[in-house]
Amino acid sequence: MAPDSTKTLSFLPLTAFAYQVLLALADQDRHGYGILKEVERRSGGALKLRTGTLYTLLQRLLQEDLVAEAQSGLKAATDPRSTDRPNSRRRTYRLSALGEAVLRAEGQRLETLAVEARRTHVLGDARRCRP
Amino acid sequence: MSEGPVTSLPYRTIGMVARCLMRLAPPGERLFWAQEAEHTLREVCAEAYRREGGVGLVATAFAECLDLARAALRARLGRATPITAGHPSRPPRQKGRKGMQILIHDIRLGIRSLRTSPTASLVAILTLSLGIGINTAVFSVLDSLLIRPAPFQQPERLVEVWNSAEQSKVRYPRFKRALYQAWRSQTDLFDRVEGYEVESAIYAGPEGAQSVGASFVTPRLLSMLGVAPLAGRVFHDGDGREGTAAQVVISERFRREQLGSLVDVLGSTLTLNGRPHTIVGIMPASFHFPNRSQELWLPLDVDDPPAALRDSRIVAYARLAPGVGLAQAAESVGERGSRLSTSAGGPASVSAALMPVSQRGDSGSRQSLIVLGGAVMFLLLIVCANLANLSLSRTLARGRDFAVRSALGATRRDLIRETVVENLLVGVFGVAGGLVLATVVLQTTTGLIPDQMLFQSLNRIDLDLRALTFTIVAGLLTSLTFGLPPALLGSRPNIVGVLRHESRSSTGSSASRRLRSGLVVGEVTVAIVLLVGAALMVRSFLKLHALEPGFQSEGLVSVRVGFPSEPYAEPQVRDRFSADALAELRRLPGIRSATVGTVPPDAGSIRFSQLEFAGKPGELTEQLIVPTYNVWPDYFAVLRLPMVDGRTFTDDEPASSIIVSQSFARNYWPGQSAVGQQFRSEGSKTWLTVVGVATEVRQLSLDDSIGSFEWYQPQKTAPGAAAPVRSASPSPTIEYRTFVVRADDPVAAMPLLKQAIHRVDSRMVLWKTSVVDDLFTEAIARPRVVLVLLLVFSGVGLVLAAAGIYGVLSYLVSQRLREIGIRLALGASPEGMFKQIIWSGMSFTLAGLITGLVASYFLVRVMRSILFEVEPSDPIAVGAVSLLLLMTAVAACWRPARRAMSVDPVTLLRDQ
Repeated sequence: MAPDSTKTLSFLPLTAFAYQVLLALADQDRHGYGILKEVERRSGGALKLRTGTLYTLLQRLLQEDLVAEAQSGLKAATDPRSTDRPNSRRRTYRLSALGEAVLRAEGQRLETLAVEARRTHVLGDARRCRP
Repeated sequence: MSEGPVTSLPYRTIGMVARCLMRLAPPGERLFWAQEAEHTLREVCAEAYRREGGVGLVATAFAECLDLARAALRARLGRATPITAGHPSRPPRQKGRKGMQILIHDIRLGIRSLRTSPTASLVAILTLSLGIGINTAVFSVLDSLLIRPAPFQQPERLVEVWNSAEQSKVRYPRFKRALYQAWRSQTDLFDRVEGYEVESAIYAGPEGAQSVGASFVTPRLLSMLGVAPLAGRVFHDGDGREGTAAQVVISERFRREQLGSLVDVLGSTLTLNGRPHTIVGIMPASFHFPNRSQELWLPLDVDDPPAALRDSRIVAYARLAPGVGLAQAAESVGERGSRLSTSAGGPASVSAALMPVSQRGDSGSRQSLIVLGGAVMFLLLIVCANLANLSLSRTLARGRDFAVRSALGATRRDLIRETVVENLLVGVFGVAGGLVLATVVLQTTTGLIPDQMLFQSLNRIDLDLRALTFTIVAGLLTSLTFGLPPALLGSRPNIVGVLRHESRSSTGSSASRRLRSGLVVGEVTVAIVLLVGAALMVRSFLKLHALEPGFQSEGLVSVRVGFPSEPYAEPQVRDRFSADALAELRRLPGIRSATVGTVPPDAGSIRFSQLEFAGKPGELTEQLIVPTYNVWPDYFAVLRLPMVDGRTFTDDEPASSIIVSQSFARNYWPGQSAVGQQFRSEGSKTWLTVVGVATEVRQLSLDDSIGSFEWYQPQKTAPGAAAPVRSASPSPTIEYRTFVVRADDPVAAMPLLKQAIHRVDSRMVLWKTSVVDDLFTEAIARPRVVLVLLLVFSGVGLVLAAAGIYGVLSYLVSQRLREIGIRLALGASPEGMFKQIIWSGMSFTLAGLITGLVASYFLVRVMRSILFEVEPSDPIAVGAVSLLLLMTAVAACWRPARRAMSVDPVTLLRDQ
């Protein structure tokens, strides 16, 4: 069932960290350390997400059903992309349907904003704007 | 990544720190992510080490731990990490965490709300600090002097047994030995009966002889009190008998001040009254018995006392037998008193009374303290009313805020809770401020409390746990008292009304208006009671101050001199010294005259006796208390104390001569001359003959009402004449005489007098040198302290009440601005508006004035015993207070009324 659009929109705008965490989970399921690395990579080190913030954020995302727990431990271990040994202390997180919807909505919102910025020549290039 | 590096020591340490920090998070969340986070943290640190080496590791570990602590704390405070950047997201509420979260939320809200109006908040906190600080300080003094029991074992079961004159109900301590022994045998009533006798001893120290407070105590008294000595021992049975070695127990203060350099104090000797005494024990500094001035304790065996102490009298100090109640014991003591008195050879008219140790202290001081305690409570009430008014204003001003929040779903309970928490915050700050103030007040003023009031107290005056508890309870109760009613009223917002109204000013319901007016009336009422109390004290004090002592006190200086018992055992030797000293004194420059005799307000010796008059043999008067002055012939001339009838004493006056005061003569020989009349004390063989009648003198104490009796007896008597009759036992250790001089410059003369006395005999003990006028000032020290404090309290009360009136009127005017504007626009005169506002202010004041006067009529009766010749319903005091209050009220109404008068209808209506 497609997530309720009102509910989806109620999460917007996302905080920078929440957006980055959801984005990190968009292409693959990751455990905490994986998320940290991915956020760092994507932002080119500009956004420094730290452990305490990450886990309190993950907990909120879990409570709000934006993120779910992937099959923990074992799955991570069988995952060829994972470099870790099987570890019961480790959970792997995945994006939920609601999370995906929210991420998409936030992406669109940002895009609209970017378009607006281009249209007003804030970004210097008006030709590439879409209707 | 291998397991190796993340499990090595540095990472384990980091993990441990992280685990500690994560304990800051609420348990539920901790369980969820703690282990995982620790693992991730180690990996992050390992990565940093690989990239940047040791420095990178430390920096990263530090930053990560900081972030962990911050995240854990946020979780604890219920502030989840936001995922939405818009309006603050609410964390889902969980059971168990709720109360704490709500409280923290309310506290934050409260602080924010207090900070929005910093001046008002500061005024509220300072007012409360003032109220609580003064209350705490006065409570500490009251607690130490009146409430807290003496620091002895089971103090509530300790009693003194006193004489009680049947007819006059006069009570006085000290039994003769036989009577004391009779009481000691009443074992069904008392577990133990011990005794003491307050004395003084001459201590020959390295800095010369001086007089020290020393009490004789029965050997087991100190052990009965249950206070352990600091060092050594207390007395044993058998100490203090005739022929035993002289022993002494000293106080810690005496050891510190007199024997400071001595190492082995125990076992060393002190020379007291010319005799060596072995120190057997040291009592702790907190031990005071039977009053604060005692520093030495000497043993006295009542059954076999040393010869010099055979005639001494003893205060019976007893512990009630187990199972005997105080009331029951008091009744039995009253019943047996007369029988025991006759069996011990005393008069049948004197019974006995039980005086619980917990109720010691003179009634005047007790009453003064109770009045002051009541006064500060009243002050706190005014503070409460004022704060309630302030709090109500704040709450009402937020009516719109409340309405909006109600509309958004806040329950009434939420609103009340938040308001109460906000007021409790004021309370907490007020308590903190109050404690600081109380500490400062106590530290600066304890020294100003007259000795008269402290004398009997056996406790220290300090801010102890009891005072602290009192402060906190008072603070919280106060903040609830002033916080709850506004919370209840303010939390009932008329949502529709408030939201529809576009007025910026808040609206008060009629209930809140009634509450505010009620508070102001209450404030005025309490202020009136305080003011009436203060005014009565002023009147009483002025009357005391204006009293004529009966003689010319200006220029008089008195020196109290103690005779060492060794060379001065015989009265003739003392007389010879006195004559020599007088001659020496008269030779001093600036000294006009000199004599010997106690000078009022010192009372010399106090006689308790029943009299038998020569005209009515066998008929005894009621028990009398008569201050008796032992004087030399030229005493009356030096003091300029006029004789009304008869003559003064001569140089070789018989010991049976007596001079009485005018009121005494008038009372017992009305309509005839007292000169030549004879009377004697009960139990005395010698008839005393009145040779003169002197003008009445005053001690200027409150107990000294008009018509008091005084006797003067010759101290210097003809050689071979019988010694003067004395009911008080002669001191076994020392006799004092007071030398009085009239000097041109009393203060300059004081050191000269001391030198002159020591020139005659350097062994003389100088007890006290005083300017007589200063003694009179000292005599009214207690009323002065009560007066000053009551004036301060009532002044603060008046200002607060005026502030209350001002606040309510200002509010009233601001509420009615629109109405006033319309009225003015319709042709009402500004003067009319002015009068109307003044009248509304005065109506509160008058209501408060009337209730206040009625209340004070009943309440200030407790002051009766500390007032001097002023009735509690004194019309002048009441009139002055009413006038003062009305004037203050008019002043408080002035500004709001002026504002109402100067409303410009056009501007106002346009704005609205």
